[in-house]
Amino acid sequence: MSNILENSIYILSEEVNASNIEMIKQELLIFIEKNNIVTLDGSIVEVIDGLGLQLLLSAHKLCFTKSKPFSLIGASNKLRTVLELTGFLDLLEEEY
Amino acid sequence: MVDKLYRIYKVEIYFQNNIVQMGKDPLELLLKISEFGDIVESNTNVSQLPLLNEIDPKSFYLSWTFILRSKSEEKELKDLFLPYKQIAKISIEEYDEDYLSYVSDAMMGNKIGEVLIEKGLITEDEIKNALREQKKLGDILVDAGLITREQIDLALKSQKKIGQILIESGKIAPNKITAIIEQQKQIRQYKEMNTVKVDMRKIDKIISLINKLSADNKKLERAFEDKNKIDKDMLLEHTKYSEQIIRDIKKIVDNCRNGT
Repeated sequence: MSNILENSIYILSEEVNASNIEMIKQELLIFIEKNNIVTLDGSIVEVIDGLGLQLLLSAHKLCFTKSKPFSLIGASNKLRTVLELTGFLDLLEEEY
Repeated sequence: MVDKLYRIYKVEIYFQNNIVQMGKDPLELLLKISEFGDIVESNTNVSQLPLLNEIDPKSFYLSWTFILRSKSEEKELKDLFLPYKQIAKISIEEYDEDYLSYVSDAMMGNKIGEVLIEKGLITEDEIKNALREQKKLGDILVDAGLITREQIDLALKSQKKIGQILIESGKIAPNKITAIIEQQKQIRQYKEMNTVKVDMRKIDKIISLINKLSADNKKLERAFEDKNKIDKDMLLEHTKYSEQIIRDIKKIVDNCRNGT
């Protein structure tokens, strides 16, 4: 099943790690190509490793070069902790 | 001699590209470090990180610099890194407490002037007066006695920057300047990237579409309350109508972004 929602949000799967990193990379590439505003939903991420974090940053870097706004909404506790520790919490769009 | 309550460490970690293939997760090490003390600053270096379309997702390209505040001694920290000795280059330096306050300042995104005020090296009035008189930063610093006129002249001749003089004269920590400059650069880039001028009529149109969407949702809510009034056709009609409005909003937003 595709993780790309019709209303232009990419939902990150429960695991974002070495086991599925190739697949997520391909899906994200298609998603970024199709959308001018790149929004990822990380609310169900339960497992993320260094490769997973790196892939998100690499996607962010690509969006930056293409002048496409990139944001992450609804980060799970696990994802939030990782972003906080690595100094990337500002990628996360806070809900008000 | 009084034992220090906390020690401040600067830890730099460069991993081998194949670290994950070697069965180690860099994030795991990061979490271990966070249990060892408070990470008061973390800087993930993404300069070697390829773009998504060029990356080999199973290789690791990030490196990290941490400022860690911990009660533990350096040897204990070194022991933590032992399992990673063969697959990562790790350096540890111990700093004094002042370093931490410098870093905190830089993290707060303060500008050089603000940091100097904070440190008590210059007063707010001096900055305000200088700005009123349209003085340059160099002149403000000379007047405050932070650097000499000769240093400014020498700087101009050798094309040194004010930050470099402050570092050399020991008034400010090197990483503080780097962090401030980097942060200012990022803020500037983000501002440029995220700012567009928008015709007010387009905003009005978006508001009008959102109102239409909201009104239609209310209609649907009312129909739900009275179950007899709801049927498949009505739901389909509502879905189609909502989708059309969302498409219209997206189109306007895309136009705004593209400046068309």
